[in-house]
Amino acid sequence: MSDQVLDALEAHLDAIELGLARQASHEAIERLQRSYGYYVDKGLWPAAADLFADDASWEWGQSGVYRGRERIRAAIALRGPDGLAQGELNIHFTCQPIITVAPDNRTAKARWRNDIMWQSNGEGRWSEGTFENAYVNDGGVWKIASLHFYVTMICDYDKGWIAGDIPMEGPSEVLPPDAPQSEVYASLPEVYLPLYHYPNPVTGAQPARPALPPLPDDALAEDIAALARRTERLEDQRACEKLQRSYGYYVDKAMWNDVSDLFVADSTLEIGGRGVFLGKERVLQYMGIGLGPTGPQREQIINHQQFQGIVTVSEDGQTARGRWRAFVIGGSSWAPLNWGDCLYENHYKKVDGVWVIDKLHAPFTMYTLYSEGWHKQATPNTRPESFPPPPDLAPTVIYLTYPNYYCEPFHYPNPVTGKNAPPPNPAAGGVADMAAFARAED
Amino acid sequence: MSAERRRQIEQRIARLQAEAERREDYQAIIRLQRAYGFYIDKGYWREASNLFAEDATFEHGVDGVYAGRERIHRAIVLLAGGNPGPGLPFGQLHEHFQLQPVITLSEDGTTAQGRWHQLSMTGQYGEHAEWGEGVYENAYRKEAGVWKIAALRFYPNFVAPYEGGWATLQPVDGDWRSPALADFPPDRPSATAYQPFPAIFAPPFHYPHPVTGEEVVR
Repeated sequence: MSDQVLDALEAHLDAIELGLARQASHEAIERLQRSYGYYVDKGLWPAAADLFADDASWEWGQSGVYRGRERIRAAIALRGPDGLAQGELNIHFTCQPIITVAPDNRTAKARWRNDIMWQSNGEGRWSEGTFENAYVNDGGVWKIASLHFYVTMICDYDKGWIAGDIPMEGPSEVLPPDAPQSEVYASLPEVYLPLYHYPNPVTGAQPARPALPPLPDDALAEDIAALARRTERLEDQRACEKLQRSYGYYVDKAMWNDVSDLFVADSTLEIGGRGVFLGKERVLQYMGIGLGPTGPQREQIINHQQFQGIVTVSEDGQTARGRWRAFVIGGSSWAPLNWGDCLYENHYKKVDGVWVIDKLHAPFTMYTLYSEGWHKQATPNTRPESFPPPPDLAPTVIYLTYPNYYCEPFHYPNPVTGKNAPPPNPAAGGVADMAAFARAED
Repeated sequence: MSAERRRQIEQRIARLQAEAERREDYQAIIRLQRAYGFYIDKGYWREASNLFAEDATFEHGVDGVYAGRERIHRAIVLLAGGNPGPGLPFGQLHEHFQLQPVITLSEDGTTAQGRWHQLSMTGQYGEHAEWGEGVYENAYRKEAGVWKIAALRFYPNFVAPYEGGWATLQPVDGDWRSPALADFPPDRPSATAYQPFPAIFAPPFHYPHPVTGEEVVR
């Protein structure tokens, strides 16, 4: 009897230990890939190459595939001399990770994005693309097993994307790759959809949970249940982050069905000043009717990059909140290019054990035309009548975007004082007098 | 036999409790720095300075070291243009994206360090607009169970005009301390002298290489 009780307690501890180890692996993989970004930023090619496993592979755009750490080091170093020369810029913002650690904690895959600020020989560029990478746990040390960067866009700084698109370089003639490109495609004005290593987080298969015996009636059971809860809350936070980051990746590629599948029948969506859309079917209409056909379109980019999430999971693990920002890269050959800066204060909830978006609420901070910049031109907030379909409900909040000031209330108290931030001080100057604004509109 | 097994289970629970706390610490530190960014974006200077420990330090570029929460508060306000907030004047954009954290928790779990990447969009409507890029190497400390910023060290790499971008930047000649802090001198000068882009400077890494364990320097 006693042995059976101890067996059950140990089975629960085994599951908790593996859960926490997989959380630690998430952290290690974040460190690995973010370090890759920091190293290449400064031309630290040997340090970047040392992040790879012995038999790893590396493929950047249409470079072809390089195998093994020495070859990878040589391929990365094609960018320039060690440490970069004065005036060379190679900044990689490595963001929006979706990391999937295998159930046995021995391998992992991850999707990331890079926003790149680049310069060589006095010529400045913007660039953006997606990673689909693999990692291996080599005796407790995580290493990159394969790195594959898919270039979405490279453009001349002055001309912007579409007008200033620069094609990817092909395989190097100086250092030919070990194998040709694994996928042949072109960056803007062409479009390409790098396959996702993971299924839709709501409709796809859910991670398997180990079958555990009931927690026995024992003096230690309470401590073990508390540990299980803490582990689950960490997993809940990661799940909400995955949900929001997936939203961004799906919007990027106009995958409207996958976007709407992140919502349920009683979810709501409210973006800018367009009003409230009720339920996942209306989310699909909002996207498909309002924003264009399904799937990535030639000569168009609509990146909605999801950054800086602060996710707060409730004590019972059934609901959560998230503050995020979207960094928007938009435009096409038929619509003007723009930069967008958008905030989210979202609600998530667990339905039958699966995290879904309950309320997506996205007030805009600033939108500007690429050709002008935010000091010269600011696109006003969208309104309910600005494009079809009409919303189900009026906007929940009326505000003006930049150059006016609006601060969506923070869902969380100050992490140090524990107190909520006060409302903005009108004397600071940027809060528009909405009454005066309404009169001006009449 | 059973008593021995039970004792091992108790030890294992204690070990896993410490492990869970480290995972929670990692998330709390990331939350702290991301919250700092969201406050700075919207002119919530007091909320931002309240994230610092009482005896914390703040160091921006080559502007020198500001010590203590109140001095830090003043430096943050001045660097942002002087408006007391909370809020921003009409037409000011002050977005500071907090990206790419590498967080290293100490063995005893009471201190940590973090490297972050900042992308900024700043400017004044009708006047000017800039892109900015730089790296933080910050220190954090847990006081009575609450993580605080113990030292903020930001290394701006450039602030470039929207028109023409970073290609227009010329090598910095001489003193490039922030004019906004000219009348509010630091407690001590910066220990690290460096030049921003187009010079190449790699802010020192607080952590060894994740695979080789060796120090990484440019």
